[in-house]
Amino acid sequence: MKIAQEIRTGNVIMISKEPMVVLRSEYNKSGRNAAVVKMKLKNLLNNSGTETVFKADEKMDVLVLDRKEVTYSYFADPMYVFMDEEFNQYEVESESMGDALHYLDDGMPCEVVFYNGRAISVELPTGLVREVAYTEPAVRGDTSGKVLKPARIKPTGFEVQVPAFVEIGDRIEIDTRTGEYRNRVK
Amino acid sequence: MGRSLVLPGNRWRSLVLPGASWCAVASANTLAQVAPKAPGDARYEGCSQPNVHKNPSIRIHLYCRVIDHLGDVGASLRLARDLARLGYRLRLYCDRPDLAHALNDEQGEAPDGPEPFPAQHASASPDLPAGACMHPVVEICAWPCETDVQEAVDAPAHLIISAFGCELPAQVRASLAPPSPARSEGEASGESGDTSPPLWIHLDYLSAEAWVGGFHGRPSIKPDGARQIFVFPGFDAQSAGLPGTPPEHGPGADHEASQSLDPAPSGARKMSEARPLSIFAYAYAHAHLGSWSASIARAFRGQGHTGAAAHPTAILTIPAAHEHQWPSLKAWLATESLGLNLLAQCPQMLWDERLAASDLLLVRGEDSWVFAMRSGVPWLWQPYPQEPLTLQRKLAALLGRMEDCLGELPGWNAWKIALLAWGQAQMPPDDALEVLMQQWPRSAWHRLARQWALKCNAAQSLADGLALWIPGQRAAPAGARMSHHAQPL
Repeated sequence: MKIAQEIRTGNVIMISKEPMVVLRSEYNKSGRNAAVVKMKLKNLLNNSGTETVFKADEKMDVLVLDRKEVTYSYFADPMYVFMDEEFNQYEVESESMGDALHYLDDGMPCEVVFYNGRAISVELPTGLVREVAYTEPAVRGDTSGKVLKPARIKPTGFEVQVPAFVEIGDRIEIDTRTGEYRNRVK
Repeated sequence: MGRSLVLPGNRWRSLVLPGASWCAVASANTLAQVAPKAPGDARYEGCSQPNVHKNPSIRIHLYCRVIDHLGDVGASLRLARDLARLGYRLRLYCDRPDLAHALNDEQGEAPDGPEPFPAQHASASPDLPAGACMHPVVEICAWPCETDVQEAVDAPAHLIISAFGCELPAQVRASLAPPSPARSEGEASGESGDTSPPLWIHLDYLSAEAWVGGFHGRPSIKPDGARQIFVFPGFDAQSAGLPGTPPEHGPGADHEASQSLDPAPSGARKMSEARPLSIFAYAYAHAHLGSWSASIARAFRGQGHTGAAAHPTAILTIPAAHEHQWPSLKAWLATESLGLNLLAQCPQMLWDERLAASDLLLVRGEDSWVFAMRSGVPWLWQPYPQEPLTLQRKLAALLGRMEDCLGELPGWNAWKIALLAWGQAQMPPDDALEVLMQQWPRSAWHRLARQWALKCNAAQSLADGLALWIPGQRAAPAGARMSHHAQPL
């Protein structure tokens, strides 16, 4: 059992006795330190999709599936191709990539998850470091009251909200479960 | 299980039924407008009131657990009343019924108006004491314990609301699972009545953040097959709506004389030289309350409001229960020629009146925040203390929405700076406060607060949003997303 906030893209959870692969997981803090998680799920029995919300501390039954450590190789539309250390290739459908697409980089280490011998999803590390490709510079004496600003990361251009002090070229750690800035990496 | 009945409305009367454990609190002024006479319901026989009960057959049980302070039960009671006002039958289960009772208006000042609804008009009913006559009331119940939880399970409910996502009593929760196949077959063959479980809502906290729209109305299927809908209050049409209702005399109220940006907004109380500025503060302990009061008072004095001799320039009112949070506050305020007033715990109606009668509101949490926004009185908001980034996101989201509405108006930048500083428990920004207090009470702050209140009060309320949604959901297929148009996913 895991709690909902520990569920990551690529996990397979049982809902109403049906295996559902998590294609996307979005975590947000609602109020008073409570949090909620929205998941985009695909039913592995009939391929139907749904979006559902859980309290972050709800317990979930997670299937233990085969997985392999791989690195990202290339995109062969519509499949993303990964390779293990023995040079075996595994293809994952683009619609099953979920949030991994936000952070995908050549040679990026991750895990491919299998269900009944089929590669069904990709799991990322909880935290990833990426370089800031562009963000507006902080202005000394700015009294506009902004507390966060958007920053585009390399190489995908995915936008992350960062504190005002973050600059172009900074390397920042991102929580891949939430898409949120964690800290600046020196 | 101790219970009392609370009528929605602004004026309340206690009605203690002789020989019964029930205590009905009747709104003498509003009975004629809202009291129902539900056809076929024996409990309403004898109630010679017009039938304006729009949803007499829909019963809602709202469960509330108190985490701390009064915000949880205050917001729950307010929603319950708002729904009851729409004609639903409301039961509020609370693990601190004493607080719920304290907040209800039963203990309020005796209002003007006709006599309480006469008990002798009531007739006997199967499950009420003789003499009881029920109206569209909020029935306050203690949290079910082992000995009486079955009563809560058996009490018919069409909708169960877990306020702020509270866990339900185990037996109530178990009753929300769909019927087993064997039971369903029994239903199909007509062997039993309707055994489908009630709708079940997770009601979350109010947030201005954009993600709320994407989460609101989503279903959540539990391991036992129970289906819950997540409902998020919010500020736009993608959410369930804003809690509460427009204050009786607030901006946008039906009877308000002008809907325009009046140079003397309705939130502005007339100031005379002799009257001190009235500041109401409902704040978390880490707020620099003394410094803020002093800065506001200085800015106030800077506008020529010197006050009468021997009178303070401003009076700060805080809940008496919060006095210990700032032990040296009174002495410190005295050095600044400011007064301190302690407000004893009071019913919600009086609390609202007190807020509405203030010149400036420094509020926190959800319930008082919403009231402040709707009131048109200048306000500042302090979110629940959380990790800094989370708090900043919540503040930034609110400021973003307010900027869309107010960004072009004079004084907005100053209010934004003050909101950021108060919201993050920082020291007061004197320059911004001076801008905001200029020409008080015809200040830019008043105009801004009124404009924001007009926007809030024109938006759909949470209770109205639920009322629009409930009928469709009762017939909607499983998996349908909550929306007014019940789109399948």
